[in-house]
Amino acid sequence: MIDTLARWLGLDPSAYNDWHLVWLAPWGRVGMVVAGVVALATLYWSWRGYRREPRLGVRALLLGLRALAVGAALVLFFEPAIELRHVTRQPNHVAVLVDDSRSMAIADGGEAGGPTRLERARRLIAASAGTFARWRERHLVDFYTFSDGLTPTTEAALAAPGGISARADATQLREALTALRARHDGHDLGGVVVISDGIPTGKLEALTDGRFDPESSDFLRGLGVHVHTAWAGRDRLRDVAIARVLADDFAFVHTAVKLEVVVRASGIKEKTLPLTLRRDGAPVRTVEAAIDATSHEARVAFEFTPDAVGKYLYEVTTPVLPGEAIESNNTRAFVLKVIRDKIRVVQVAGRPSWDEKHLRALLKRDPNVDLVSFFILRTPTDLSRVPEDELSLIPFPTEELFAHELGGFDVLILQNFNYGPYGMGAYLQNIKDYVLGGGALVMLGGDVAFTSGGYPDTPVADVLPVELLDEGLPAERLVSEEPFRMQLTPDGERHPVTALRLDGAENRARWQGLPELVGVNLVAGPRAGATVLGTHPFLRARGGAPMPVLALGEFGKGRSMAFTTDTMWHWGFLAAGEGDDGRAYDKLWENAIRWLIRDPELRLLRVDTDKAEYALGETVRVDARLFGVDYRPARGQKVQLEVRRAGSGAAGAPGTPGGKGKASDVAPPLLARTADTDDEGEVHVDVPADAAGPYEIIARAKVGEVEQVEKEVYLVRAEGRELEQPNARKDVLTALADATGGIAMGGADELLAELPFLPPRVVRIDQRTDVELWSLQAVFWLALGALALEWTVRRWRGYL
Amino acid sequence: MSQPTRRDALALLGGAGALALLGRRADAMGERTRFTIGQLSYAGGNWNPRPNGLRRLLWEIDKRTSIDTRAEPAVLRLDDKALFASPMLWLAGDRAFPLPSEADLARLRRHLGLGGFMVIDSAESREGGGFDKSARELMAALLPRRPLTRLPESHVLYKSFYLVPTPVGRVLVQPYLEAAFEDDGGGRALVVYSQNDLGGAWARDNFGRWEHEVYPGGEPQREHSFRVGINLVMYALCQDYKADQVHVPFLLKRRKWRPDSP
Repeated sequence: MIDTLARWLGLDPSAYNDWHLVWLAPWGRVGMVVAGVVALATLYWSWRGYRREPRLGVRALLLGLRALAVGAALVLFFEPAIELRHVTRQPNHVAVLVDDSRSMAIADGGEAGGPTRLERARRLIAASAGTFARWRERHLVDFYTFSDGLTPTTEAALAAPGGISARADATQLREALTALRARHDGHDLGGVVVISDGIPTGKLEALTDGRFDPESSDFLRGLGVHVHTAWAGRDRLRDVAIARVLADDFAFVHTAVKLEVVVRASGIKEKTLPLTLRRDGAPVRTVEAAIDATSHEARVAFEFTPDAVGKYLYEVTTPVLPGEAIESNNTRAFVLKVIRDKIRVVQVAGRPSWDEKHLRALLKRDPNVDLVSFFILRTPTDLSRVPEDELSLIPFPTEELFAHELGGFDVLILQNFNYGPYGMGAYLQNIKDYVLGGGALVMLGGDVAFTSGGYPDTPVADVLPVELLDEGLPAERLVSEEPFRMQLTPDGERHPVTALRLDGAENRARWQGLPELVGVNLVAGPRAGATVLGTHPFLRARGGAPMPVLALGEFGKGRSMAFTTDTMWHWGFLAAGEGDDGRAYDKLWENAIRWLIRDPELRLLRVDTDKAEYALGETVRVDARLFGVDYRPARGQKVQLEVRRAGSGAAGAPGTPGGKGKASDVAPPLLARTADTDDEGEVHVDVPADAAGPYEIIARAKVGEVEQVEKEVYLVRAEGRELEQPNARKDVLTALADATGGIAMGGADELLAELPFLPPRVVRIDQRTDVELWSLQAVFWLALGALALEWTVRRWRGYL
Repeated sequence: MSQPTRRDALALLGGAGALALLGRRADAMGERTRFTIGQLSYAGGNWNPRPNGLRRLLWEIDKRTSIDTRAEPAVLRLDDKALFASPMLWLAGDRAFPLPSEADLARLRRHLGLGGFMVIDSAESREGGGFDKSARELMAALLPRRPLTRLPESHVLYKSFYLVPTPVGRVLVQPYLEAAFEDDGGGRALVVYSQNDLGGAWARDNFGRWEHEVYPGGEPQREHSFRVGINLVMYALCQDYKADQVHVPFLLKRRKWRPDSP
C-alpha cells in the first residue's frame, strides 16, 4: 500500500516504508470539535429542509451532495496531510538470568559424580548458542548472574567451564527481577529467561497450590514481560539439613531454655536421625528426630538449663550420611548470651536469729535477688503441745531442695545449720558437687555450724575454705564466746569482698570503726589455697597463725565463703545504733554475693565484641578492658589478644575444647596481638570476618603477679538460609512462568528458539515527507462540483 | 519447719540419734548471742505490770521452738546504748505514761526504721484507758504518718509459727491486733499493739502457779495467748517468711482442714 500511495503522490516508493495521516490545521482540539458540530448541524438542517421531497432517491441525492460539500469544507478546514516515513525498529532486550547461589553447587540427580546444577546451567548456555543467535536477529541478548544481587556477565563466561562459581548465600529472585526491571527502565525489555534450581530465599518463596501469593503474582504481572524458566536441578537429592534453629539471642541462667530445631531430609531411608546439641564443643543433649514422611521434616525441641552467665557457642549437629550432597548444612551454630535475671539464693537457717533476720531482710530488699528461705523453727527436741494442723510448719523438703533443685540456685547459704537431724547426710555430696559444678556456698557461724554442725570429714568440709576441728573435742572448745573485732588481713585490705571503700586507707578506717562481734566458731585454720580476709584478734589457728573468721575459697568451678560468727548483723543494725550509717553490712554482703557468683563486673580483665554474630565481610570489633585491684582502669598495661577458630585449641584458655591436646595439635591463632592499654585501660582490635565459623578470643593480662585470662566467642555466619532447603524446586519455576505468561522449559537441554518475546517498541525515523491533501485541486473541484450539482437539482425540484 | 509425716518423723529420729555422733552442739555462742526481748522501762506510769510475763514467754519459746533464748528480758531505756542490741522491744503498762523526749522518740524511730520491731501490750483490760491513750499519743508522735490500723486477718503474723485465729491475751478487749506499717502498702509491721494483756496470760510465779485468771476462754485461751506471743517473736525474727510461696500450699491445706474457731 505504501508503494501505491507513494506513486500516487508522485514520490519514490523505495524511500518510504511507513505512513500516517496527520492534521496540519492550527485550530486545536476545540476548533476541530466546533467544526464537527457545525458540519453535523448543517447536515441536520439540510435533512429537515428536504422532508417535503416525496421522492426518497432525490432526497438522498440532495443530502449526499450536501454532505460531500460539507466534507470537502472540513478537509479544507482540518488541513489533512499524509506523512510518509522511512523508519528503522530498535531491537529490544532479552535478559538471561543464571542463578549463582550456593545451592547451585549441589550435585543432584542421584548420579555419583554427576554434574552440579551450575554445570547443568553452563551446559544449557553452551548448547543454546544457536538459539541466542536466532534471538539476536530481533533482540539484544543480555546475560546476568543472580543470587544476592544482579550482576552482568557474558555468554562466554556462562558457557565456559569454571566461568562462574556458586558463591552467594541467597537466591533473591524477586529482588533480581526488580533490579532488572529498574535497569531497563526507559529501555525496551522484551523478555526474561531464568535458569535456576528454583530455591528462592527472598520474597518469592512460598507456593500455595502451585501459585505464588496474590501480592507476588501482582508483582510478576507488573513486570510486563514473559519470564521463561529453565530448571537446572534434578530430583533424588540425598541430604539432611539443619534448616533452622529457633532460639532467642539470650537466656537466663538457671532458667530452662527451649529451642526448636527444624531438620529437613530428602532421599534418605532413615526414619529417625540423632541430633546433638553442643556447648563450646561439649555435648549437652542428644535427641532422636523423627522425619515426617509427608513433609520430610522433623521439628525437635531441646530444653536445657544454662548454669553460668556468659556468651556460649552452641551447635546442633546431625551425623553426615554416606552420599550426602551437602555436609556443611548438617551443623548449625548459634551464640547464646546467658544473662542473669535475678540472683537465686537459698538461705537455710538452723534456727531463727537476728543474724538470719537481718540477712533475710537484706536479701529480700534487693530487687536483684530471688530469695528462697528455709528456717528450722522447731527441732526434734522441742516440745510440741498442739496438733500439727494448728502449726504453720512445713516439712523441710530436703530431697527436693538438695537432690533436685539445688542446681537452680546461684548461692546456697547454710546459716548456723546442722544437717544431722534432717536426714541430710546423703545429700552432702550433692552440695559438694554443686560447688564443684559452679555453685556458691556460704557457711555462717553459730552454735550448730562448722564443727558444731557435724561437718568434719563430710563432703561439705571439702569445699569450705577453712579446716574444721576434730569432732571429738568438747563443745566448749568448739566456740569462743568472747567479743572481738575482726582484723583485716593484707588480702582483705584489697579484696573486692571486703572493699567497703575504694580507697585503701578509708577502707581500713571503715573496718576499724565497726562494732565488735560476739562469739566465734573455732576452726583449725584456712584450707590450702583459701584466701583469708579477716582473722580473730587473739585466737590462733593450728600453726599459730591468727584464726580465720572470714575466708574465701575456689573449688572446681564454684566458690565458697566461710564466716565463723552469727553476729555479723552487728555491722548493720547495731552499728547504726552507734551512729554509723549501718551500710557496711549491706555492702559486705553485696560484695560477697557478687564475688560468689562471679559477677562479670568484678572481673579485672573483660573482653567483649560489639555483636555476637557477624556476616561475612563485616569487621569484628574486639574490646578488652583491664582494671587494677582497686577496680580503676589499668593504664599502659600489656594485654595479649588471640583470635582462633573455636575448637582449634588454645592452651590454657578456660573451658576451651582441645586445650588438653598436644602442643602440636594447637593451630596457630588467626590473630595474635599484644597492645598497651590506653588511659581508659582499654585495647581495641578489629578482626575481619572473612571466613565463616565459630571463633573465640582469648585475652591475657597480668594484674600484679596474677595472670588474668578471659574468653569471648563470636560467630561468622555464612550460610544464611541458602542451604536450609537444598531440594531443587521445579514447581517454583513453573509457577513463575505461569504468572508472567512465560514458558517453563523444565530441565531442557537447550533453550527454545521460539520463545515468545515482546516485539521491539522503539523505532528510529530516517526520512519523513508530509503531503498536504487539503491543498490538492481535486478537493476544491470536488466541493465546487458538489455544490453546483446540488444547486441544479434543487432548482429542478423547485426548491429555489 | 516441722516433720509432720511418719516418714519424716522416722528420719528425724534417725537424725536425732545421729546428732550425738555427727555434731556437738556448742550450747549457743554465749549468753549474749541468745535471743531475748528488750523490755522498755520508762519514768512515770508502770512499765512492768507483769514482771513474770516475758520471762515465761521466753521459757516457752525455748522449749517449743528452735530459738535459743535467755532466761530474762533485757530491760532497756530508750536512751540506753544497748537499745540497738535488742531489735525486738516490748512496751507494757497499765496506766498513763508520759511521752518520751524528742531525742528518745527519734532514737526509737531510727530503731524501728532500720529493722526493729516493737510490741505494745496493754494490761488495762479495757479500751480507752490511760495507757491506751498514752500509747496512741506515743504512736502519733513516733510515726505520725503511720497510724495504727487493724492488722488484717491474712497477715503473716497470724501464721508465723502457729495458726492463730484470734489474738487473745489474758482478756479479750479486742479480737484483733493493731499495727503501724513501714509503708502505705502494708509491708513490714513496725509496731504491733495488743490491748488483751498478753503478759498477764503468761505470768507465772516461782511456784509454778499462773498469776492471773484468763477469761472468757479459760486455760485454752492462755495457751492461745502463748501462741500469739510466740508468733510475735517469730515475726520479729523471720518477718514474712511464712508468706513465702513455698509455704502457701501447705498453709492453704491446713487452713482448710482446720475447724472454725470460736
